[in-house]
Amino acid sequence: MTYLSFFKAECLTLFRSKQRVVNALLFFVLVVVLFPLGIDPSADFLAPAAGGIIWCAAALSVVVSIESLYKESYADGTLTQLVVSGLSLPWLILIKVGVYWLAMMLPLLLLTPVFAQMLFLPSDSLLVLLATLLIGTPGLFLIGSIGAALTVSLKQGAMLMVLLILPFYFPIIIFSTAAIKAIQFGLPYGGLLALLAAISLLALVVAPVMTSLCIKASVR
Amino acid sequence: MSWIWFHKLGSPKWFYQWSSKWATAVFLIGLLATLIGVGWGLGFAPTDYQQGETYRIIYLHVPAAVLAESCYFSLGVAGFVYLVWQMKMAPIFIKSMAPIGAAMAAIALLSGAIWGKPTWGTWWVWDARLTSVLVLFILYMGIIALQNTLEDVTLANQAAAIVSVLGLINLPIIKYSVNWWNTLHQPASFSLTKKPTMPMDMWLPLLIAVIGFYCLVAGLAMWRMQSEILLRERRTQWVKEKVMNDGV
Amino acid sequence: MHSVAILTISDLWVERGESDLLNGLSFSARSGDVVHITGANGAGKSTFFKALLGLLPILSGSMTFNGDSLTQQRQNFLNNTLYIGHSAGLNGALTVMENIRWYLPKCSEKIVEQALSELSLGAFAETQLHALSAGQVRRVALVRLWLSEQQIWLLDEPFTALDQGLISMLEAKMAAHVASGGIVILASHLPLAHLSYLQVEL
Ligand SMILES: Nc1ncnc2c1ncn2[C@@H]1O[C@H](COP(=O)(O)OP(=O)(O)OP(=O)(O)O)[C@@H](O)[C@H]1O
Ligand SMILES: [Mg+2]
Repeated sequence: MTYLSFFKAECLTLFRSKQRVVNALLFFVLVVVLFPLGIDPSADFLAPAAGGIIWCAAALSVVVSIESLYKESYADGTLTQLVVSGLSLPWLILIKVGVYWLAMMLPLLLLTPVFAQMLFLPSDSLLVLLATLLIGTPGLFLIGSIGAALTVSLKQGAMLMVLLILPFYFPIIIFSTAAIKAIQFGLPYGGLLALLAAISLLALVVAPVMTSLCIKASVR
Repeated sequence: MSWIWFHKLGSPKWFYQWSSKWATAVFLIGLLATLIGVGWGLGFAPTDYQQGETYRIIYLHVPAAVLAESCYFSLGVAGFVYLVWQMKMAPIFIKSMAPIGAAMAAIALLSGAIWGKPTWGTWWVWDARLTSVLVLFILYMGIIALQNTLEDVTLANQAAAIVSVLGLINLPIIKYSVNWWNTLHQPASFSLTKKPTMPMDMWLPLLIAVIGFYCLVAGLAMWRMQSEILLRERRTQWVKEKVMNDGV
Repeated sequence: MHSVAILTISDLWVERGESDLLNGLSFSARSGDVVHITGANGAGKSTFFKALLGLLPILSGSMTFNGDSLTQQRQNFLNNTLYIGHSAGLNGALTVMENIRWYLPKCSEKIVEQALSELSLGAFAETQLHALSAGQVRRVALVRLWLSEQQIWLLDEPFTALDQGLISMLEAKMAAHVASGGIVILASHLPLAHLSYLQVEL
């Protein structure tokens, strides 16, 4: 096994189970739709809330769908093979999470302008929204990967995983929506984007190691 | 400097014997200090010229909030110690401490709500500090849930340690971010490092109450750890002997 | 070189749940050895492999590979080891060929195809794993042995779900592997018919 062959296998596996990604995106769409339906469809409410709505939907769909990231490989023993492969487990995890991030975020970034329009988000805010998604979501995926590894041995771990991981998403959601608010009020938002980048970078350093510790404790 | 204390701390047997000597004393000191501090605060400290008598709930609210944070900090440190040195006592500490911390966070939330009603006119406001405590409470519940759900002890230890460390890294970020929509709240009223803005005779009972809470929590934690130690070490000779000699 | 012990296990104990397992297991393996670990269900055979691979912490004892303690330095050992456990460790969403390409990206097409036809999987190269029978999946796992470059094989009950013909074939494969300087450690409930081996009872 090499890093490259693992990357290829991951891409293929994800391509074969593309329904998983599609489901996550549909979930995202549904959560977005809940807000106009459940609260208020007027532009007065939606325009200022749009950034927050899209971010909450994104965070929820990430945390729910990433829960099963390691389930299959845990069940069929390939996770054990990764641990004993002699390759560095944190790097393998980074590859796995990276592939999943690409697969989910590309379509989500394409969907976002459509939903921004439907939620009456002003067009100058749209760019900031896309930037926050691009910079902030790696953090969501990386932190989510830790939760997925923590609960990989549980049959019904989804609820526990959400309970554990969602609080760690708060800063990312807060800074992202604050950046979108800032542009709506004409305030500078660069510092907030830098904060988001810092969180994602921190997650990039910490999460693969933490995830590999959890995985090593789970496959035995 | 000697590291012997560190290794001793890692031994459940040593900790059990050491803490049996101290737990009760620490708890009683804590109880006394809490009673003095809270009693003084509620009964004798001067009335606040802005908030009147209602401010007195800080003698409960502030110590609980301080302890909720300190406990989480200690969980994070214990988690780190476990991940690096695999010290056996660390997960025992985490398991014993998490429910106490959760209780502290709950007390802080409840007393905050009771304080809020007369002060702000509502039971709850989404201000920075109350929200941080709420998040803290959820984090505690997550750790407790994790430990109750994972059946494999080693895995549960590892998982709880990881979440604790993660919380330790994240808590400052969460607090900082939550300050972004800081609205109604007054600035922190109690700090050990800064000069008190309250008059001395309001501040002193608060200090005593905080110290009392620390001791209470330490005593409680030691008791909980002792029973956890007996449970986990039940197959060792010294626990068997102890149970034979003293009963359970 | 032939007489130097490559893998040495001494006085090994592993804690598993309520019980301490392995009873101070000790043996050493030189290149060319087949070590056959036997024992009742639950005796700790799989536990031993997991301890060796670092998946489980050990309670006491020592394991060395080429003189290095495994608890301190396992990288070398893992690089030279091929482990097949109770589960085949294959990805059900991928085809037979893709699974092999994942594990052995450097093997040439021809050699892989030859191994596949030897294991009568030739017709299934492009079939997804979850469309194969249990025995066929085990066969795919064995392809890794057929093409392996690693010196040490750790096989946990490799004969499960295999038909009689394949069992003798696998034994012959092991014999060839040790003849070329490899080491095989296997746990199994079957006696080995065509091999000389060192038996370790748990
Ligand atoms: N995940 C686990 N958690 C706790 N104890 C376990 C676990 N897996 C196995 N054990 C215990 O460890 C002992 C050894 O198990 P192991 O799997 O090593 O047996 P084995 O010799 O491989 O058996 P088999 O022939 O069935 O494969 C068993 O008695 C079992 O009770
Ligand atoms: Mg077994």
